[in-house]
Amino acid sequence: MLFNSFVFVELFLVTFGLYYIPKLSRYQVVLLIVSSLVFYAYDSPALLLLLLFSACLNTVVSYAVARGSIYRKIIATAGVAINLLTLIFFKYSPLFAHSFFNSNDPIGHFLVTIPLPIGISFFTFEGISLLVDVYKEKSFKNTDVIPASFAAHARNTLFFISFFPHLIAGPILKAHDFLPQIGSKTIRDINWERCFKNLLTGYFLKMVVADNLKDFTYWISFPYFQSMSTITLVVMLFGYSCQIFADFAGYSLIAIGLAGLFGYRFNDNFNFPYIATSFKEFWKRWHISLSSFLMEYLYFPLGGNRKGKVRTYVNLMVTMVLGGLWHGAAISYAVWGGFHGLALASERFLTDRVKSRPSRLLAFLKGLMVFCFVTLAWLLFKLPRFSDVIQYMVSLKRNFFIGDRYDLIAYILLYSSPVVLYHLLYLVKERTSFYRVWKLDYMLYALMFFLILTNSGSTGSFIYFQF
Amino acid sequence: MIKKTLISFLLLTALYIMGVRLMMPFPKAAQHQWQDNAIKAQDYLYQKGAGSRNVLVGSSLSCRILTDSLVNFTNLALNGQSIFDGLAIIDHKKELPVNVFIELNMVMRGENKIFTGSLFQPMLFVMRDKLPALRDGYQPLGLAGKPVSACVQTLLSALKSRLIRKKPEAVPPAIAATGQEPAAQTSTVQAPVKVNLSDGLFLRLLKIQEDNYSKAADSASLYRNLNELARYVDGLRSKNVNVYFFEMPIDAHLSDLPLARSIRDGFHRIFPPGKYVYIPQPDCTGYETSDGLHLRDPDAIRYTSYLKSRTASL
Repeated sequence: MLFNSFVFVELFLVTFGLYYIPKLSRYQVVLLIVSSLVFYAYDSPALLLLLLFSACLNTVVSYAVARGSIYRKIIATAGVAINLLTLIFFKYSPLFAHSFFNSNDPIGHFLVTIPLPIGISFFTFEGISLLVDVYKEKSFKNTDVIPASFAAHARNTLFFISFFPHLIAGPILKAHDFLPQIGSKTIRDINWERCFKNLLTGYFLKMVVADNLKDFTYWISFPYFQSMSTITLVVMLFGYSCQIFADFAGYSLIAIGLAGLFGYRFNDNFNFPYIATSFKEFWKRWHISLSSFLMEYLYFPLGGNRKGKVRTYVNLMVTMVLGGLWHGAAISYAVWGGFHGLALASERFLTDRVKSRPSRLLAFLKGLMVFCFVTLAWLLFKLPRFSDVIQYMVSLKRNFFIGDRYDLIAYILLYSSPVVLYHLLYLVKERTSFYRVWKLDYMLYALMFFLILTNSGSTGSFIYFQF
Repeated sequence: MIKKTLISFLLLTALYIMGVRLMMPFPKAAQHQWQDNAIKAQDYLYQKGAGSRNVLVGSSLSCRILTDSLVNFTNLALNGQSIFDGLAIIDHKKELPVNVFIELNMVMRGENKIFTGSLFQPMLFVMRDKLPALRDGYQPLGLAGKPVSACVQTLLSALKSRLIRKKPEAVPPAIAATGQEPAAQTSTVQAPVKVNLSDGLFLRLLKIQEDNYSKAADSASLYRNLNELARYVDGLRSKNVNVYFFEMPIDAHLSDLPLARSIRDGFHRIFPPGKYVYIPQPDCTGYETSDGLHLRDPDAIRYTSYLKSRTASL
């Protein structure tokens, strides 16, 4: 179910209406679970079983670990392993099939036909976060957060994993952030202004920016791009970079706004990523819930930067390649992760050796370089085959003299401009003149609302659904 | 803040709605293929009165037909979409046409439910009917795009002419071979791949289509779609609408390959030529396409006159 569909609006209104009826306040969590299951099952009811399996597994394992079983390490490890194996089975079987079997082989055929359950990467990681947090007990005391009653724990775990705002495209919640928030909520707890701003900005980024850009960047597909000029190709790539940001940041903001309306707070998932002046900074600003998850649950356990320089570079590469593969079952995603890993490792290597004086020009040039690299790397997301990526690069070099598509360029620049403005706001937000203008922010939100009504693009799935 | 935002939003929307109504009619702006399709569909759906006598449904192949020379014709062929979208649109309108012309070529493509869903969503349907400003053709950024495009054109032309003057030797092989620079494409809508027939790109595109057309249509999918089509055709005929089938000319290398043949055979089986009227596909040999499937402009005009001569006697 899409956040921008009428059926979702209906489900939300019914849930919200029932949620704050005082007589039903005891059943708030149950109500959200039921809504979330309807939300998930709407498109593919059969796959609901997998979500329930994940919740059951993580409930049983985390409960056993929290109760202080003498085998808690083995149980927790087994739980994480089963989570990962389930993810690998459902997500990567087609990749194995294509890599190791031919299409006529019955095993290969079986592996190819395994469906990819929507949101599996997100809820699997959330399950792992629960097991690790309960096992390590660093962020909370188990007795404070894990109820003594198994039924209550099962309810909380199912709620944590299935809560619909984050269920199918994140942000990835961490158990230590979410579980302590579970409790009775009242309508007075809602921060209306924050929710309103998040929802409006989120829907604007998705429905006006991303959904319109999608119909222009569509031409980044083989063989169409071959007949486009160099400038058109560059602008399309820039447009795709803005589209992917608007799509995912939009989804995250809607999720944060929706959760807020039910009294739950999700952490920000994006923080002006395209103004980053280093790759390290970019990953602290882009898909923060994933990068912080990978840092806490993969990079640090691998040793982080505590085991020497070479090992640090290796850890960075491993983390980023696995992070790339998390996005999709294709070699191109691993290569995308590898590129970012390489960029991070190279940056670290250079920073250790070359000391430069901070200057505005240098910061600008570094920011430009990071943006260009990140944008170019998105090609691996857009074009699934390497040969197509190579062809795109060849066309970039070869097609300078072909006539430009002025309308296409103009519309891409027009629809990308909110993303550019959004990032420019970050740069001026410290100035006092900004605060004088910002008092009129309601005009900006009214304009966004107006454009949602009059200028939305064609409905499209969120790009991150496929992950 | 929320109250102020909502009041400003209502004022802005009311102003825009009034502005569009006062300035009507003014040209709609189609920004991209999907929107071009939506504008076509909305123009047809919200047309007051009896509407066109003749409606044609099809894919991007039939979009090349120029209806300005055909009397009382509406071309509901949709780029990247199918006859089923066009038929669903006809089905949704109260007033039916007298004649419906259905393209054969792309019958394997099913209805785009997202597209038709967005057209027929009950609340939006009523709002767009009453308030034209909410229709796709009057999107504010769409209208703003035209002047931006003109600026972009001026800037890029100036920039390129300087660069080209500086580096005249950098002529790519494709242009050197033909001696011509490919024409600028200024529209994002119906973006046909403009190529020289001797160009490697055209041959590559044709090869892709040859591969697609070398296998017969999957029989289960074909008959599922044809049965779905039969449901529409029976419904139209029961309401005294005449239904005609036609096949767009494509590259002569493709027109007799297994895919085209299997589709033709399927049609003839479900809609026997004795009971249904077919406008036969002309000899494809003389028709040139840009990619194997889509007619180039001169040949689109030629096919339009062929269709005109055939429909005149119906």
